[in-house]
Amino acid sequence: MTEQALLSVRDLHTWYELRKWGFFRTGHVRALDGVTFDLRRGDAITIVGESGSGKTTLAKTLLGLVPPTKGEMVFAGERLDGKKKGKALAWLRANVGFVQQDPYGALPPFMTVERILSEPLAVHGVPRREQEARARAVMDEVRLTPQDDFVHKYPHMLSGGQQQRLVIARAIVLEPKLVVADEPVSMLDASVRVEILQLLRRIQKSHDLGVMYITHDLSTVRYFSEYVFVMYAAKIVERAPVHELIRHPLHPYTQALLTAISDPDPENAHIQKEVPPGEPPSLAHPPSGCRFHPRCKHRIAELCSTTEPTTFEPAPGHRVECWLYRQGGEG
Amino acid sequence: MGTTDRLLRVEDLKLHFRTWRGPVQAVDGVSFALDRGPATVVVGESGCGKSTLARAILRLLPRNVSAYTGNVWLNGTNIMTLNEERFRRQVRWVKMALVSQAAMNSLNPVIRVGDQVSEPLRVHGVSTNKKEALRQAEEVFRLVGVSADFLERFPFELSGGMRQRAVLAMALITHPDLVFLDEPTSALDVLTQTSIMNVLKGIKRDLGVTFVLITHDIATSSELADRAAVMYAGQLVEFSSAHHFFREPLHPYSQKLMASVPTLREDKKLEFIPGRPPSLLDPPTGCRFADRCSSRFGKCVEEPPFRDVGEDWWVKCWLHV
Ligand SMILES: Nc1ncnc2c1ncn2[C@@H]1O[C@H](COP(=O)(O)OP(=O)(O)OP(=O)(O)O)[C@@H](O)[C@H]1O
Ligand SMILES: Nc1ncnc2c1ncn2[C@@H]1O[C@H](COP(=O)(O)OP(=O)(O)OP(=O)(O)O)[C@@H](O)[C@H]1O
Ligand SMILES: [Mg+2]
Ligand SMILES: [Mg+2]
Repeated sequence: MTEQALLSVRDLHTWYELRKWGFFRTGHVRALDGVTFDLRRGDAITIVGESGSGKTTLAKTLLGLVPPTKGEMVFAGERLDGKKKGKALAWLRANVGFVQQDPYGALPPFMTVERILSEPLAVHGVPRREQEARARAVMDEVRLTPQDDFVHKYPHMLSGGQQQRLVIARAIVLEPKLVVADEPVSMLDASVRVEILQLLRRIQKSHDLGVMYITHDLSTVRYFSEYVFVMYAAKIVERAPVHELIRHPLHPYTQALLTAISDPDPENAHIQKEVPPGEPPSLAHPPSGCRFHPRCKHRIAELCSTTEPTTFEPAPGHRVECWLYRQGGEG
Repeated sequence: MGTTDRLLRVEDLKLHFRTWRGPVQAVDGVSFALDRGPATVVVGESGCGKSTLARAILRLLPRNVSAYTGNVWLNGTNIMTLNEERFRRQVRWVKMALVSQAAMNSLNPVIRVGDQVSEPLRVHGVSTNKKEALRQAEEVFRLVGVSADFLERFPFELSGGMRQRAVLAMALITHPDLVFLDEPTSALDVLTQTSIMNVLKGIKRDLGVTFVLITHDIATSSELADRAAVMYAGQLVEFSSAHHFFREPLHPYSQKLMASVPTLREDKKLEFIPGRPPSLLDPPTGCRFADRCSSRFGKCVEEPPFRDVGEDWWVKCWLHV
């Protein structure tokens, strides 16, 4: 574990129990299956992966919303074990802001903007006089201005972009050290997406926040963070600085993902793109060996289907879990 | 607008909805024409009337319509003048089909996929023989890249990508000339999106089906686009070749829209469009984009005409008349 890490995650597993008739255990969904990484204060990292790869599970495990099955999480020097209660949980909630996947579901429909922002302050014992000032200050930061136009509105009176800005305001109102943003822009128009991502970025820089940006859309990544982690089937399969990852993707899955992404170019209509066959595996019965091997055109006979790849670091700071890079030595 | 031998010609189409706050002018005077073959993408921000435009052309109307006017010619026949019975028997699903925005999640959970996909054949009297219908379902399944065993399955047994292919197959089974696809890939993962776009390209090329792809995902739309229609606040503001739209759009709204699209391979500065589209209850009388437009000038308080600037390139902006 590095000294200055704000968040340090080691071999984290979160398995959901599968039950028949809500009672008999019939197996597990291995939604997170051995994830290790560090996040320093002031860094923005992106976790990118397809639907069902475990991104939200990672966020929820960090926030203490679902218990980890095994592994270790250390945040700001405190061990988190997923069983935190009372004061310790309140401390965690104050220090980790959460922007969840669906802004509509995230906002209580019967509360005004003002109450939505002052509620967390009240819960954490901020005196009433300061609550209003603090709420107005975060509204200014997320550009819900003039504040008087918004304080008495209910969520349904706001546009999608304004709702998402409100969710961000609530996530930073307690001045956390880390913000976990789970698909903060996936439901929004391209233009509003840009606005919200630029806003998050500005707040991240001005408050020296750690941000974990979770997305399935690699094309927005370069505008937001320095570092990318690629998830496939509950594991991080590749990690690298953004530009390095885009220019030299190493994992065959990352390569396929990058090939698939369209830039707005009229030439696209004249080419067929190569897509790996099949679909991501079931996490109740993941394949043996490398989880991508059934779809991989570079798989090495015998090896990839039987033995889980370890981590290789073919270039400094660029790590990949793939046997193709085994000559590079273990990282 | 052009000659009558075009596949589809839409003239001053309007569809307004009655609400307690007044009429919503969801589609308000749209005119354009399509040739057989090239695919058109319809883009624009959420709520600008893209889905309503498709519903207006296919005459799939909700109860609260307050105005529905204009002309639509399909293969030279003005289909607005047909009565509902003839429209249903001769046009909808037979000549023109729609894969609606939520179609893949509205498959009937208790009916086998094969029976659902072949249903349009029976409903529209193209084929009443069940065995023959299933044979045709098998054929379109092959076309969209799904193995025939899936015909026997129920929707919940299919992944999102497979369900989307199934509803596409359902739209194609009657061999329509024109197929509207409303956000067919926006709920899907990138790799699945790409394989569906590959399928659409293949069908366009091999069968000559004319697609109209409605989406707010501009980058992905470039995978199919031969032409592009940009909608803003219930109206078309630009209609051009895909090349012109993606490389050098003329309308300031199209330009701003393009500037907000992230690119993976090129490091461009992203911009967003300040403000929001106007309410369709009471849109501005002049140019509807004027208050968000950095090029506006005195003339913009009047409504600009939708003009052909050459090469079938239409723009609704006072800068281009
Ligand atoms: N409460 C739960 N019980 C059982 N399985 C679950 C539960 N929540 C999630 N899963 C499963 O765990 C896996 C990972 O889900 P998760 O929501 O973390 O994925 P994700 O990467 O966030 O996907 P998306 O992009 O769709 O949001 C999926 O297979 C999902 O079906
Ligand atoms: N039945 C209806 N009654 C009243 N208003 C409606 C009705 N259907 C649609 N609208 C309104 O008409 C406008 C255009 O809606 P439409 O669904 O066509 O937009 P869209 O461009 O497809 O948006 P999106 O990208 O979000 O799908 C919106 O303001 C919508 O709220
Ligand atoms: Mg998720
Ligand atoms: Mg729509």
